[in-house]
Amino acid sequence: MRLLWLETKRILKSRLTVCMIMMAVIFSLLMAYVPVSFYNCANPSGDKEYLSGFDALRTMKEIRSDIEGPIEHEDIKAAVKSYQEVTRKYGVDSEYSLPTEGKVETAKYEFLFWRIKEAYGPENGLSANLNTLSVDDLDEFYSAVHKHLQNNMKLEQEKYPAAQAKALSMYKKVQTPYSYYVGADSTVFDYEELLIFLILLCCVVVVASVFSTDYQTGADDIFRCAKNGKKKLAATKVLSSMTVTLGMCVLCLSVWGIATRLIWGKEGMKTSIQILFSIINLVNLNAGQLMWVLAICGTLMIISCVCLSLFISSCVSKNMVSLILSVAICLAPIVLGWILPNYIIDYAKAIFPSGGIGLQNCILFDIIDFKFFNIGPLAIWTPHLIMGFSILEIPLWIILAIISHDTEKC
Amino acid sequence: MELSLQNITKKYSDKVAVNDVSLSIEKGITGLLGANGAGKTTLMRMVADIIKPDAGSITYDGVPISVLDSEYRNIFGYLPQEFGFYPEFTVIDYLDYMAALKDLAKTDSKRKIDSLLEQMTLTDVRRKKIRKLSGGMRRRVGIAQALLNDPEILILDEPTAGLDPGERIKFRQLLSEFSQDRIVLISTHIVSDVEYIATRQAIMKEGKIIRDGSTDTLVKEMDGKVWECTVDNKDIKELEKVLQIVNLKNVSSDRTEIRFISDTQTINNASNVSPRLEDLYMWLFGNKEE
Repeated sequence: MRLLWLETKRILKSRLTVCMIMMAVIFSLLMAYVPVSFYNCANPSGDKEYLSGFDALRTMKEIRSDIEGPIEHEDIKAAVKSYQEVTRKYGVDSEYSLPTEGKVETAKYEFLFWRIKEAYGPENGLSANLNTLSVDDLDEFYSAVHKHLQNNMKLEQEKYPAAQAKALSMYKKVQTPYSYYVGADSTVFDYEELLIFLILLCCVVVVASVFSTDYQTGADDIFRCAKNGKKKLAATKVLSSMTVTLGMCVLCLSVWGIATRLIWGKEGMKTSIQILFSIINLVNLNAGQLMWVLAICGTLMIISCVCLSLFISSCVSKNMVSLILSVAICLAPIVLGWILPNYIIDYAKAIFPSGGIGLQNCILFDIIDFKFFNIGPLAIWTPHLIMGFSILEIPLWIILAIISHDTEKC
Repeated sequence: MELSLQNITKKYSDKVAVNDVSLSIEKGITGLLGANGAGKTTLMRMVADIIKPDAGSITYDGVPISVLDSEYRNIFGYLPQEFGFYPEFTVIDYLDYMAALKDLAKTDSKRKIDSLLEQMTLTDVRRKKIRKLSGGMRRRVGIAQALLNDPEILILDEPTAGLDPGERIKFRQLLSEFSQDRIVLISTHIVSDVEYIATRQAIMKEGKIIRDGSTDTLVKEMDGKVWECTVDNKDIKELEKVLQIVNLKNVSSDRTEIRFISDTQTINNASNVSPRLEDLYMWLFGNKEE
């Protein structure tokens, strides 16, 4: 324990670590603020200029206060009715062509338009035209959602009935009616993923030199001659690096989470993710729970990446080489995503510990998607595949790092 | 108490760094002399179990050191030639860290660290970052860490590099006291470091031990071969071409006393003098280090 404390203290005292922690905290605050700065709505005062940021959020809370809570079939009907009336009034085909006044009139239901288009769309997967729907004849909304899911899974997983069945069984656990509260926006989660990516880079910079710096400076020669200088030191270094990483993740994601809740309000976190992304998302989560899931998955994947970096660091004798290799492997799923076709990279990325961290390959996109890895009768949902690999790789990289440190270094 | 090296060989690609070395080291100070590149550091790193020999074995009291493993490291102290440290560490942080690595109890380590800081005159700089210390001070920190666990076997690679003359003398005294009932192996190319304190000298050249014995035994080989005389300064260049001059001392503005090695008197007024270890070293390695 004493060695663990001293090693952790050593890492934390390093100027590089202090800089990285400070940078990560600044990123956390920035990533919490940026989404609200993009939030906008039409100005109810008739001004052509849109309201943005906190003004928009405040206005939206006023406009939608009476629709907050469970979204019932009657709300859907009211939304379609409002859409049809307003588009007819302004003589346009869709909500996008509405003038500012029209947008103000539809603002209350606007968040539902795409969800309704999804639910009542034709079987070919396209979205419905809300103007052609008959309000009185609309099927019960949640039955339509279920049908849409069945239809979507047939289109997405045509040859894999196991995947279709798995998706339906997952969706059975989703609570209906969905809930909506002002103060939740899908971009918040994009920025949470971006923050996780930035925290990953900061953590990798901190740990990439944990072993290699000893080889580079020759300090390793002295340590190896001490009683606890071989396997025990290696295990301690791994453990303290993981502690520092965990600490950085908890600190930064807590700062981000608290700041986000302060900015958007607590109520918004109760919004179902099906309202934010797609009405047929397979998991029973609200926005607040999704934040937690992403934070936990992100932390586990960062720890897995850090363990891989430690293994690299234990193999090479130059800090710079260790850093470059570690960062390159963390970025590999992103780069491979540009090169390889989707049907390969969607699954191949899982073998990288950073497979679910990135700009286009973040685990959020897998959670809100309908991809399954099919092996014979088995269908594995890709977020499970990514997390499974990440978690399994943690002990693997730890063992390899300890073994590698124990081998002769010239 | 015997550290035994049997037919040790170590190769780096096609270069043989240590070539079939056998050496039995008993308690007391043993000096390992040799020019740079002679293979001393490689040999020391094998004794420290940092690298494994390609052939041969190293045993302590008959048991291979690889078998003793942590037991061996527990009674071992090592100061490498390049003293690496973490730049963020203060002297006290570093020694505390090393004490934990050497498995010293917290209370024992505090007492030991305080005593070593005093012995090494580092008490005043205990809270200073190591990177801000002078070369000599850093070396003393390195020596202190090697002594933390009161090792039975102490291996020091070029320990006096960077120390001033006063510090060197103090260091030799410290080692003389410390070496009672312990094995101390000092690698150096500075002969005066070990000439008087080492009970035994091993001289390495091109990966091999070419001489091994007590200082007196070794210098006997030079009996009748070391000469001293005073010559004109203008003749020195010519004499350097024909003689192996090991020392020069200005005695006046135009005269210099020279000490040279030769089987015969060579210069008329030269007188035969008692040989020293340095003469043997110079005779074996020449004026230029390899």
